[in-house]
Amino acid sequence: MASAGSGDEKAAAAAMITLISSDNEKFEVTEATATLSQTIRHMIEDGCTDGGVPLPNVTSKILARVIEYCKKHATAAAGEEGSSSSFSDAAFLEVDRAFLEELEEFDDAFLEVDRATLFDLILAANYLDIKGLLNLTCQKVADSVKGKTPEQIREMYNIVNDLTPEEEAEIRRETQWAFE
Amino acid sequence: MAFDHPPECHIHQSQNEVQVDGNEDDNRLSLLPDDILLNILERLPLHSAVHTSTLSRRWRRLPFLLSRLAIDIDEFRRRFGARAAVPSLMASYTEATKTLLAPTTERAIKLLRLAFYLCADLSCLRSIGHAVATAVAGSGGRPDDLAAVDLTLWTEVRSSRCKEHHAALYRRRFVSFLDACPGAFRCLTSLILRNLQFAEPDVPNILSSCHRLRELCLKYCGQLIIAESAGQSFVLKIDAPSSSQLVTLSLVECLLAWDRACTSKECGGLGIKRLDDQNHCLLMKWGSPPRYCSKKKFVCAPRLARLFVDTWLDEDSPPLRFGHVPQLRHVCLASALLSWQEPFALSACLANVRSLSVVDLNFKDEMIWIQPEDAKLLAPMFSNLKELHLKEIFAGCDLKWTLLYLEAAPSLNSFYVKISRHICERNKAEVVAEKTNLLCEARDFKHRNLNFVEIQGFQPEQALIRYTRLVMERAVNLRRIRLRGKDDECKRCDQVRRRTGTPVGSAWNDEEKNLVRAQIVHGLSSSSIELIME
Repeated sequence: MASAGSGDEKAAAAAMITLISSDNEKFEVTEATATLSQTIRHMIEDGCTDGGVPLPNVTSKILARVIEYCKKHATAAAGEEGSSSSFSDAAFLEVDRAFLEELEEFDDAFLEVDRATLFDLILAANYLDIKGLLNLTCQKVADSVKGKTPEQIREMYNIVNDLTPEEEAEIRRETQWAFE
Repeated sequence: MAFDHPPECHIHQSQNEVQVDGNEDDNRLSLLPDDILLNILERLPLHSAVHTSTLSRRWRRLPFLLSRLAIDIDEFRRRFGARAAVPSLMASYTEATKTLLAPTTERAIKLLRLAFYLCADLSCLRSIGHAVATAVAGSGGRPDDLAAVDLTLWTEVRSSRCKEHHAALYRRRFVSFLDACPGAFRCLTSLILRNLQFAEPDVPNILSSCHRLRELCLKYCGQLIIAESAGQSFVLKIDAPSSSQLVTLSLVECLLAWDRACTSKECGGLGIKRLDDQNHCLLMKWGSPPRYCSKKKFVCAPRLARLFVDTWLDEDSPPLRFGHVPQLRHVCLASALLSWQEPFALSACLANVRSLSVVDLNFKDEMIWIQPEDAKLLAPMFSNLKELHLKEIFAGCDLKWTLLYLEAAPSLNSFYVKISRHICERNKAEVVAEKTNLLCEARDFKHRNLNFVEIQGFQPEQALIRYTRLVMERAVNLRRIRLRGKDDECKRCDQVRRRTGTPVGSAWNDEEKNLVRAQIVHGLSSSSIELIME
């Protein structure tokens, strides 16, 4: 827990946080948006966000996308809190349902990116510890692999098979049940 | 459940500012750190995930480090084809379990979902049990970090064909499995069992052996029993030890109590046959209704929060009672009244329950199985109730009786009524009780907390309009009322309509809506209520 004094100081600027990308671009975001990232949440809790949060692993192009995601989902998170306090109020549930659908559409559109961007988003989500975004992007990769043979996957993702035929045969033997 | 990402996340991203969309870049999948690749693999069907071990050296170990796994016999069955025999499926399944759960210090299992056959070969069951116990125990960690382990046991014979001797056999297999693998059962957090003819000590045994169990679901289980002195009568008694973690209990088509001496031989198992899986249509095949004992059936579980009972066959009313259930919040009872059953007073069933917040009663289009009573008797059980659902009430049933449940629940804020518009008689069977109307006077009272009412299956009938007004007059702080005319989709109803040339009810036009609206609000000072019709 921060002391009362630093808490007050923070309260003044609590609303906005500055994120700095690897190419030195600054992004102003609300705390609610920023704290979708557990990494940033911890930094805020530790009181080390004055002067902006440098994110040396994330380019401005990717950071802009990540923020877009967080903004959308921060509203959703706020909605969840609101509805849990009056969980049986059907009016709230109604709003939630419509919003969840909208969110799904947003996510689908959000994933319409080239593969390089997808990998960048995965790594950024991992580094910033944004569970929703990481799961979303990993699911996209999983979907692309589903139903493919190992050979197709290698081709798709340019994976060089460095297993010797003997090694491959051994793996197949050990997991024969999976190849039956 | 949190994904714990180690602080030293490997960042391979953009090491190279000048990226070319070429093959070099595409290789990035393999360059992702282990935890991300595992996250991806966890989203694949098990077999596909394992196949990736042959991609390259980088991938070789990964499928064996998964910390969230679903090993489902269904996936094996689909690969083997519908005609595959259980022994070969289970042999393959057992091998899979052994390789995937092989102990390793490189992972801690977080979630394990297992579904397989309670097969004849105890050695298979034993190997699986052993693999589970070592994998979960080997994961170590603090007690709260322990893996969630779900187990579903299937039987070779489906419930619709399951006879008494099958159920007795499966019960013996289950008991041997439980005895042989205490370590595995100790890890379980969820257990789904079906087609077991339980004997006296089985349920208490399960509850004490699986002491982490949070969820127990019993389907088509014949005797849930505590033997009476002579060993003739059997009574459901779910009496969980005080340390029990059980939160959710579901009983589906279970016989909660019976008297063995009176059961006719022809009935075979539970005597229930599923006519149509999709519509959950039941036909009870008893020649004559069996007579049941009237023992008290208690559910006692210190942490139980949710109880679902779908279809009870007992003659006894109410079908169950409660002992010590201080945390029971949600009760869901669904059944069609059978000819040998009497409607019962809800207060008799729910006596001792003081923590209810949601109650859900489903009458399956048939006779109402609760007996109207004085609201005062129910008031202690309903004092904290927030949400009440009365579902699948047969069309044409007078609804005034429902008001007494509003009166008994002053804290209620949402009230849902669903009138069944099914014309396919999906739950009709010889043994289902005749429908008679339930007549009851509407008492005068004011309800101050109710703010939402939904009536589904609403049609512009005078009786329903009058009923809606009765509710509105009582709920003085009502904010919103929704009348839904739309029917659920039902193929069987469509067939009936085609056969008899009955037209499908059309959606309401604006004129009809305005007419109904005017009739509903006529003379009521309710301008602040939002009335939705769809």
